[in-house]
Amino acid sequence: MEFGWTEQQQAYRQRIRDFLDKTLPDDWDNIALHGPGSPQQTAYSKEFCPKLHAEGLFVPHWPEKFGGRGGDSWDHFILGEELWQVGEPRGAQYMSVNWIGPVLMRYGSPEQQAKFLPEILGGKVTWCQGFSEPSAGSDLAALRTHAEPVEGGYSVTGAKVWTSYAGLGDYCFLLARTSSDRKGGIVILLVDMDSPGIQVKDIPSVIGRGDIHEVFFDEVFVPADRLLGEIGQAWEIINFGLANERIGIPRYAFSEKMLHRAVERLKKDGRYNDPVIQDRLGRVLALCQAARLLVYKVIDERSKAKEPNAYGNLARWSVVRADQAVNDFMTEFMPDGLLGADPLQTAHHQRAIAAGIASGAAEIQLNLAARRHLNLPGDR
Amino acid sequence: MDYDLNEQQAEVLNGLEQLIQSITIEPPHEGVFVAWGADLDAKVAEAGYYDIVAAGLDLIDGALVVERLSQLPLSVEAAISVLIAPVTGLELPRPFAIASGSALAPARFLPVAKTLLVDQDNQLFAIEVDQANVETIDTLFAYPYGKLKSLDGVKMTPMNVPVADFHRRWRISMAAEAGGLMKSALDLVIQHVTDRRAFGRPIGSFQAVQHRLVMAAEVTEGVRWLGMRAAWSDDDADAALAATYVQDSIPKFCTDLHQFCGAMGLTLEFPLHYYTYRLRALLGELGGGSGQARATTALNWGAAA
Amino acid sequence: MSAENMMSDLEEFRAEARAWLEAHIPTEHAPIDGPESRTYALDWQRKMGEGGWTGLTWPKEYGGRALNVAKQIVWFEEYARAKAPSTHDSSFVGLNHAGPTVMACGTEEQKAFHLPKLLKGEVIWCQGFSEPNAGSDLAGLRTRGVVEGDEIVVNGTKIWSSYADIADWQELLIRTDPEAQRHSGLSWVICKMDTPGITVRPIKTMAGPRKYSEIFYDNVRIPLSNVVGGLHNGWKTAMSTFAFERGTASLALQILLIYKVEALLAACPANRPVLKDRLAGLRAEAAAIRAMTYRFAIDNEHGVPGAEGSVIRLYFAELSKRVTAAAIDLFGLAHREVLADHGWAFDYFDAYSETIAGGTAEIQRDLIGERVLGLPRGGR
Repeated sequence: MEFGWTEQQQAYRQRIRDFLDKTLPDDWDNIALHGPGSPQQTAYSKEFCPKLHAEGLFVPHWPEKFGGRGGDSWDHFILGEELWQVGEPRGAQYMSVNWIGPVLMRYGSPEQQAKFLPEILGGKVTWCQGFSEPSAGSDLAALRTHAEPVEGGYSVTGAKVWTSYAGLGDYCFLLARTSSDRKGGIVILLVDMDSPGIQVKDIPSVIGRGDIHEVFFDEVFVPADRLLGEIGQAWEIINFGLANERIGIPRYAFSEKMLHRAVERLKKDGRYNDPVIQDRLGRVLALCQAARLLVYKVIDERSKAKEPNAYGNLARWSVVRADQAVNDFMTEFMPDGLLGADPLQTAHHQRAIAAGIASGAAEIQLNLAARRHLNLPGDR
Repeated sequence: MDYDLNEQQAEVLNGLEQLIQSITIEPPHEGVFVAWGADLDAKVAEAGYYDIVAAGLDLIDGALVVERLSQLPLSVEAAISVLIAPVTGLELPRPFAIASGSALAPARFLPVAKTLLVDQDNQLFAIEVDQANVETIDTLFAYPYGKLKSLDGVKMTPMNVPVADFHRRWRISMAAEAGGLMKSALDLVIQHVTDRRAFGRPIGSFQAVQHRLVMAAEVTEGVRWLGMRAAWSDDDADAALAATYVQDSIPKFCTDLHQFCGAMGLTLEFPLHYYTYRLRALLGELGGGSGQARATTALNWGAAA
Repeated sequence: MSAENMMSDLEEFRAEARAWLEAHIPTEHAPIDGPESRTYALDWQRKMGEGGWTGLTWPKEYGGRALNVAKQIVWFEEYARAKAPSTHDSSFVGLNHAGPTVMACGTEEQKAFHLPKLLKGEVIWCQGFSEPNAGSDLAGLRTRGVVEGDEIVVNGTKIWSSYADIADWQELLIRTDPEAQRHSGLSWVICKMDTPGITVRPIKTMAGPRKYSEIFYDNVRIPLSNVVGGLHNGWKTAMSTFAFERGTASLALQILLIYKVEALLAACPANRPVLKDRLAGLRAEAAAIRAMTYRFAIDNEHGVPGAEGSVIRLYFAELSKRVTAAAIDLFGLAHREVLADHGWAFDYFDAYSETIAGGTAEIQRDLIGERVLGLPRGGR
């Protein structure tokens, strides 16, 4: 048991920081404030990701045969920390490299891999995630969007909601069902977002522009070769993807960064000596660090190729708690940051308030951790 | 970064496990508040586990030993001997008691201690304890507590070590000990809510119970890893951070765990209090949660001007 | 009465109460358990009765004064201010929920016999609801009562009964119709504690005193005329008991809390600003509870209190835990304010039972959700 970074890891982290220093534009904070799915950040991500890839820092964790460097989970995660904590200059594309790519590598056909993976590497396409529906949010398996087998493929009809990044998305990782079998009847389709019959409606929200949408499918034709995996395999694929996604965003890193920025401002304003502020700062920093170490345990297991387990749900909960505690601290003691004094604080705020809801409500994480990590009994 | 035990750590823990399994640990008598395991303490001492850090093993190995021993229902004086006392660089007689601020303050383990370590006016002292000069405090907490009756004729030997080192190790030991206590308390309560039925189902199947038990598990893990990292780095800021988290977590943790055991959990017949009452005692050490939190802030971002 | 007259009437009453309390407060502290605590509680109750300070809102025919609840509140304010003996003593059950239940559901004979005795300080009551396997799930109780002629023969076990070892009477809930399921077929009976066949085993708790007991019933014969609210109708009677227990029983304690917090604030030294911040927050919450308590008491002056009482009861119980914890932080472990017989440590451990007795916090939340907020009933 040890908690240090290797020299190589330290150098790698430094290389990312140097790259960001030299690459991010001066008005970056004002771009980041609009949210990863915003037109501003999406446009910038298409400029940024190719540069990142040229530096070998876009997919260092992907296997070499798919254009990566064969790095380990730590390489992946250190990268995620450094990028998320400056406001995520990859925009929505973090999702492609975090889990859509790896899912395609594991479950995609050679043709699908040949088409989609190089496109992702090009740094110009964005994916959206067609999971939640008006009547299927936390209870994902209740989804109703229907995929009717037709000649040469499927005809999809239904509605998705809360879909992140759909407005400017090129592809949708879509869940639909071909039969009423709760989990077994689900299929995954890789859908072109410009297919006829798709209508996207932006939902104005407090978490940033372009972040959530309604997507309507009206007899949308999807060719058979866009079916991912085999019939009946979808639930397994979703779980694989979610395990990667759940511990995908190192939110605590951004939260800690906000605390550092808060201290700078507090010192400048002569408020750092306030003992109540000092007390609160210490406590929220402890929450962030605890979340960090719980997440690192998951990454440690991932790097040793252990199967994902419910520790991830536990870690995810701690991340949500830390994010919210920092956000509460910032809003109570640094409200001017949300009124123009620090654009990045607005960016953090918008991401933090969705932390307990996005990619599986916190209550679902608690349910899963209760049943599978603590082995608590079911209700019979 | 590696969360698994290395060979040396596994060897130490396996040896300790064998020792623990070979000792019959009599459960404390019903109705006893303080569960001091005199016999257990002596056997662990005899096997040399209290000296492992002083003898050159890593601090984190010592923290693992302390964590394991604090999982037992009887308390032993492990944390101070293993993790704190070595900072003095001297071989002082154990068991130890510790106090901060005043040599006359109530001190954990004093009624069973041979040496009292106390910081006073920014100087660490060692005091040879004369039990005739110790007043046992009739406490609700599960550790033995006492205070010195007077300082007349008491020799306070100044230690040649900064008080910050004493506090750092104290904080590391707090986390190691709390980690073990929390684990045992949580295991006990999980068993209880699994067995106990109401409304035709185990009470552990209710979401209101499940969610808060997961939160209890979350802080148990947080305490463990922050504590072990601090023991690994032996760094002031890491230690303060771990202790901050420990003391920040204890109130809700204890309250919830007792809550799930209902009235049964309030009785002395149910062993939960042997863990929660030691946790409660840790809550007040070194100025309580606020003391650690402000130390964390100062160590990370500089002292208040 | 005009508002002005009412105020001056109340102030006159207040002055009277204050003068009486100043002259009569016992100088000795209450013993915490055993026969001495019984003698002390009854002596004090008798003394208050002689002064006309018991049963302020109870009807005159049962020895009360039939005053309005405002005067009751003023009395408790003065009572708290004078640091009079805790009302949470062995008289608590009789005066605050058994007595009111008999008043609401009992026969004329029962009322005439029992109520005056309570006010005169002649009897101690205890509760007999919970069983080893029926706590929160009270309807699962199994203690049996078989009707034989004009008697009920009781067999079974009760537990967590406060002061059972020194009580004269018990509010006892038993299953009298073995055919009926759960809530039906129960009876609420008045049990005389010296009836042959009753064995009381005190249980030591973390708070120290042998406050709780386990009670065994071996062919205990109780007159049929002791049934309150009708044979097999005990659930309804018990719900009245709970309505009082959760509603108005803790009026005095809820009023007292703010005085206790104010004493802590006064004792908090200037060099502990973080603690002061915390105590000030607790002071504000105690004021909120006091305001809620007054509103509720006035709205529920007549009849059986409504379910809103659970909101205050729960808030009070949880706040009590935080107040007592802050007190221990303030004084430290070894302070006499903490370790004394009725010190903060005792209160602290006692506060743990506040979220369990009279229905756990979880049950209270269910009830508040269903009956106050109108949420759908969950699986229980």
